[in-house]
Amino acid sequence: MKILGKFLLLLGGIAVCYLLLLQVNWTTIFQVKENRDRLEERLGKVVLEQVKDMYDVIEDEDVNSTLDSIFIPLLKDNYISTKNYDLFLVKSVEVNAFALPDDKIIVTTGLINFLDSADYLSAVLAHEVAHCEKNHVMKSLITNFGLDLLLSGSGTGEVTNFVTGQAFSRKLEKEADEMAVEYLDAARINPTSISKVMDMFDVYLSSDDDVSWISSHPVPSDRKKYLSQKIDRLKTNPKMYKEALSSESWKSLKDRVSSSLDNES
Amino acid sequence: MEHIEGAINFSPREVTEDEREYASNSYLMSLFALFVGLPLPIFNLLATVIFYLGNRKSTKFVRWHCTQALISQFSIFFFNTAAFWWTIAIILNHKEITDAYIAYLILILLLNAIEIISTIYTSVQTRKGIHVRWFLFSDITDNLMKK
Repeated sequence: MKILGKFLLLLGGIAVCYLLLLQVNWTTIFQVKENRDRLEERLGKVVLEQVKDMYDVIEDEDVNSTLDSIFIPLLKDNYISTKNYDLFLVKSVEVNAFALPDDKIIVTTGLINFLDSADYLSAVLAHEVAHCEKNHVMKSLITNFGLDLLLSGSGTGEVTNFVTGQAFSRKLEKEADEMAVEYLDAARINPTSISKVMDMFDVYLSSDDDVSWISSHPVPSDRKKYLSQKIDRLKTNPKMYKEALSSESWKSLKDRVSSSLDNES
Repeated sequence: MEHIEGAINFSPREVTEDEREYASNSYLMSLFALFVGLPLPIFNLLATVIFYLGNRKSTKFVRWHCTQALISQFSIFFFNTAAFWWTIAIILNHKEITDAYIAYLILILLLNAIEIISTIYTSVQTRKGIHVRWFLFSDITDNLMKK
């Protein structure tokens, strides 16, 4: 009885302490949201600087304005503020596009050369914008660094990070794919282009020795299935879709990108 | 922490140098493991369990203090584990950091600080052969030792 009384007294004391601590608005005191935004902004700058060190950024005004003519309508038609977004075209034979913290999107010249139509580039950009809008980049960083930090003492950090990282990455890719379908539809660009471009990536990148694409992206058959389901659910009229850029303009963009690469070499 | 007469009591004169050292080490062991295993909350408990099992056949004074150290580690383990899994849930499910979470972390820090200070104090006192009884945990220890 004496033990029970003391136990209840101790538990009650701890509960009262917790209730008192709950009365304080800690998130405001520690500026949780502001600090997170500042961290994202700083990380965005740091990573962008690293990307600029690794790759040459194409500064051609014509090329950039043509890319903007594909990118900006995609944002505006989806009521996404264009203010913070930056699109960079970098010189690389890699077929790649990726989002950085603080809404920076990188597209390689290899990707432009690889794609046959501006609709495909729109699909890729819609996918990357979805990553930014859903804050996937920061979420991935928090998951990876957070687990590293928490499990560093146990020695299981790397394995856990790899397993959770893969599952998490696939989940985010699926979310970005599905949002991209909505973005494309709102921008009146045929959303089937995302299905087609992902198919092209699957064929092209799976044939490579690099397994990072396969391990971090959904299985192609699953991807095809959920994308077609998502497109079917939209029930839109294919006649309302337009080209993101005329085929002539797209060809001229590709030529210009190729010539800027040739000039450099 | 209490210095009052308890159900089971030991006089410093009856406690040998070896007993003092073992009893003191039972507290130090948990502290050492706590810092080595941070932020995982299991290592300090594991270390105390191992030390407890290793001293089961020891004298009453040593066993008593190993038991008190074990019970104290076991209690703090639940609070630390809750904080650990709450953090994992925030990281994996991308939940927002709330006032409730920060309040709990501060509570955990306070509890751990009290526990660490008490452990150091008890370890030092036990090394001198002084029998230190903790609130509640000493009563549970008495009950377990009587069985």
